[in-house]
Amino acid sequence: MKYRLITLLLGIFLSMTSWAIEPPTEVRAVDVPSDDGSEGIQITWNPAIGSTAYRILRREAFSADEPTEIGEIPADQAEHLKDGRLRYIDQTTQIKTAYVYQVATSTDDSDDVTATSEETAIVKAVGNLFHRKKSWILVFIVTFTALTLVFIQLARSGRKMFIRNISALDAVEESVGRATEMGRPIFFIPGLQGLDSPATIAAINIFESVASEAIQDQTRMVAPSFDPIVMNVMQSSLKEVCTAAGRPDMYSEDDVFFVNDRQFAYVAAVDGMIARDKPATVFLQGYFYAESLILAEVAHSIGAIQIAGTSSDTQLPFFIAACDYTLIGEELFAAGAYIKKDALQLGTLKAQDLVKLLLFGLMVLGGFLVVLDINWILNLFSTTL
Amino acid sequence: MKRQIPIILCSLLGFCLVVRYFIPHRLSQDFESTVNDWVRILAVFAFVIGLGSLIRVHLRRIAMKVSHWQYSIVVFVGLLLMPLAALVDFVKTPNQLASLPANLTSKLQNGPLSATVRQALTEGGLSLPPVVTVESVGKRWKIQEQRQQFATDASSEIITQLDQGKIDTILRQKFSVRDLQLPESIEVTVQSKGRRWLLESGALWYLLTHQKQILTVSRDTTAAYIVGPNPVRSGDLPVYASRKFSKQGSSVNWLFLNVYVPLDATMFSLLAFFIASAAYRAFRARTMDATLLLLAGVILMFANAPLLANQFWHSIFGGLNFLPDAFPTLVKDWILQVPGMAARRAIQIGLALGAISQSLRILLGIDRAWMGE
Amino acid sequence: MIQKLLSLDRRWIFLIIAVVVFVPAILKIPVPVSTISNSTQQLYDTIEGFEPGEVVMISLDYGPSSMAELQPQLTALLHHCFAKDLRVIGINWAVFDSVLLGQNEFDRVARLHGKTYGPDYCYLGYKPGGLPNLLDMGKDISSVYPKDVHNKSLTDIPMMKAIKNYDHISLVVDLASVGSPPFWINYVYGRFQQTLALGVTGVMISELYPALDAGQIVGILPGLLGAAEYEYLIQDANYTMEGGDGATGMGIQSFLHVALILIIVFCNIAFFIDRRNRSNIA
Repeated sequence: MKYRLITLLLGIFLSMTSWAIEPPTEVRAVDVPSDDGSEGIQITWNPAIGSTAYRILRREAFSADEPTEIGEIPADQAEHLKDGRLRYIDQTTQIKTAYVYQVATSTDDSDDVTATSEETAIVKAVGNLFHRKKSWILVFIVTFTALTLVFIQLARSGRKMFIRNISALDAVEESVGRATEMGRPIFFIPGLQGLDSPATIAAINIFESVASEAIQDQTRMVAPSFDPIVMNVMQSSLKEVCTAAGRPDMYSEDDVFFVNDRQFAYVAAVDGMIARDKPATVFLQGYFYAESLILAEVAHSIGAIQIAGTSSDTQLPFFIAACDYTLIGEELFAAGAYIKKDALQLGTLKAQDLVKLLLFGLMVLGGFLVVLDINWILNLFSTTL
Repeated sequence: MKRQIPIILCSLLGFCLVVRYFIPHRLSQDFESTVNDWVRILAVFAFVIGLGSLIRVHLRRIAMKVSHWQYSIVVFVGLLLMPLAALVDFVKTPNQLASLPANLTSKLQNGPLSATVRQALTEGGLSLPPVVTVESVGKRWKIQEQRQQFATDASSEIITQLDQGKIDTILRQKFSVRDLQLPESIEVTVQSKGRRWLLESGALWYLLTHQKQILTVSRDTTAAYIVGPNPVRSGDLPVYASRKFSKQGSSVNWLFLNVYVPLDATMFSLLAFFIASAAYRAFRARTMDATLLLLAGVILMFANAPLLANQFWHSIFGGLNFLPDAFPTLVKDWILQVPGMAARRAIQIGLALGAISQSLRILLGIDRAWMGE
Repeated sequence: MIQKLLSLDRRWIFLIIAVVVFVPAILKIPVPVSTISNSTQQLYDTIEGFEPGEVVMISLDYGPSSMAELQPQLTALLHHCFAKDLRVIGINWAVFDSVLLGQNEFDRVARLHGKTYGPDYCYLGYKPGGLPNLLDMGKDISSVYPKDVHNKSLTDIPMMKAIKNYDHISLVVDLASVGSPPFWINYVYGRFQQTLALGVTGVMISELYPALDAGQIVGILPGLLGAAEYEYLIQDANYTMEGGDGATGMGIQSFLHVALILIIVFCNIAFFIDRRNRSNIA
């Protein structure tokens, strides 16, 4: 009896001590997703009762070495996930090296007495082939592309595509005519970015259209360029336009030239040319920085018509205040399609408009959901994990 | 085929780069890095083409004496000035420090110079003037050229004035009463090199190894006063005189700081004038939209001028307790952060969609403007 | 008469502006600020909370054209950092034009506080490379800047021995007139959770308020006004006795804005009189 009592008391004592120190359960180690392998491996586990700190142990999977401690976190500082599990990210891993992990708990009472979890499955940090958080962006791009192809197909089949009037582009003919009557050249300033900028490509589209009208009216086009590659492209465009109009003699390399690639040096040079040559019309199309107002005002001072368009939202107000006509926002990118009236390009504009409508719908829906405290939509396009 | 190949290349590479955005793998990053390197290399060649165009166009203008051909000469002057300055810097008296062995250079730079080091430097081709003595006079130091010594019995008020470099006519008169001639004090060129100062005084450079603020130094070294906040005993101050060392790159730096920087800043400052003339033309209450634009502009200008937003506002409305102190600033911030930001976001969304549409047209080969077609 | 006023030759306006700008500039009329914007105060409080020895990195991403607006911000920040015995690293990430400007200013302000190059501050300059440089500094700064602007190896610079990457930097401040802030926010804050602050030109401030509200940056200095506000704060705390360009600039800016407002009011009065006259005639 006595021995039974002692055994019972011992059992209760042991169970109490083992109840105070539990190993973490469901310890899992996986490669950090959507990375190139350098983010490491993430270890997650259920919190252990009575634990004041967690020690992360690691060993290489196919080696006989003992696990080494790679980190220790106080329990109150451990990262909590939404499901209540704790997380530690080991960023010291080598890519494609196999590891196994364990998590040990310790208490305030004694650091020597710990409870260690089972080993995890073998895991390697590897580069991933798809970034999961960008899925919605991919969906958006695929939708946009699909709609574009659909509308291109509709345009090819002969369906008429309506596009509203854009007064700045309707004024192109009038302004070219003015230059012809006054016998003065037309200046075309294609912005201060290179060919990698969509705004510059849009500007070149407009340049081609303006040049074809000007060449037919035998009016000289001058295009001082900020970027040598853009200069080459515009020279090539002008040459083609002159050849197509049957006036190859009107092409001169000196009309489309490189000035320099320093912002205010370029502006000083162009302002000087405008003040001396006194063009009848100045086109300011492309991406501009702080010099936008200087160019616009100098053009105004010599009595030229200015037709501007930029994708820089900080410079748009200056153009709107100072220029006769301004292409606002995406009108710049629509200009090429508008002027050429090319069915395929108009089809892409239609797709763009439809996507904009979809985005508006998403914004309105998102507004309602946020009011109802449903916030997942706020991070729909967020790419951070 | 001549047209198809560039279009196929552009579309292929474009789609590859779009797909790359979604692949975090290292290979994908290396691919992007390689493409960026290629772009940089092409930019260099493009610059050569641009330079060629610039030279050709302006030479032709000068040769044919077209109208305003003289400005083309200015282009060449600007084009050649900086490289010439760099060449001059490179060719003229080389940096004597650079011609010395590294261990001697560090000794010279770190000072003080022992007799052995001075001998080694002299043998290395660097001639050094003799060491000058330094004497501290209260809070001042004097580099004595063994000619004239300054009196030490000046009153504390005068010493303070000397310390602060305020050597005016009245002070000179006070000293002349005592038969003491204050040396002519002028501002001299001072260059700092970390903890060292190169101080030009006449034909000599004084290399000091302590940081002190130098206010006035006499021209002819009859006496030089280095005034600093912390008195230092002369024994602690290893001062020696050395020949003037030319600093490589000094002409280019001078041109940059004294020509390019002011010109660049001047062009930017023209905006102030042009904004005024544009505002005079555009800020008229013709329509409701124009009136709103005008009001927003005036409120922002009001709030950004402390004279108006603080002093003027408080003097007029300071007694109104229901208005917060910084009311103009709050209104300005609201205009920028609410209606202004809403409008900007709308334009930015439109621009982004337009850019995507433009890019799709290029990738699908519909838009060929980039080819010059 | 009214017609003449409405179509006033712009040169008269230029003359008015010239007078209004030159007179306060020559007379150096300072107009101190008394209200401090939240964005400036937040940045000040952040630096004020640092312990001596902590490291601040300042990136000068502006050219000579924006120097008038951003250099006073740099000066005020340097005064604050050096007065609090913080260690400062200067770089030019996006723009190389201001390497000399920044270097000279670092040297000048450091001298005033008795700081020395090497232990207390260093200047690394510009390295071409763009975004990869920003990311690589998150791993190892010396991989981007093996040497400083004086061609000295980073291992020979005393303060850089203990600073390897953003983990050892308490605050990064980007003084920008170009489009660099989104890169610092998206990559340096986004990936490395680096404490970040900005100093920008007036025209850029509105697009960065969302980042401030979202907590991605701890403060913004809005143009010359921001510099003047910061100068007020550091002078109030006796961190410097040197008068800054911010306060003098506020004098010029104040008079200029008064002139602009009066010009606009004047032209609108003329416009309304003209419209009334036309309607009377009609």
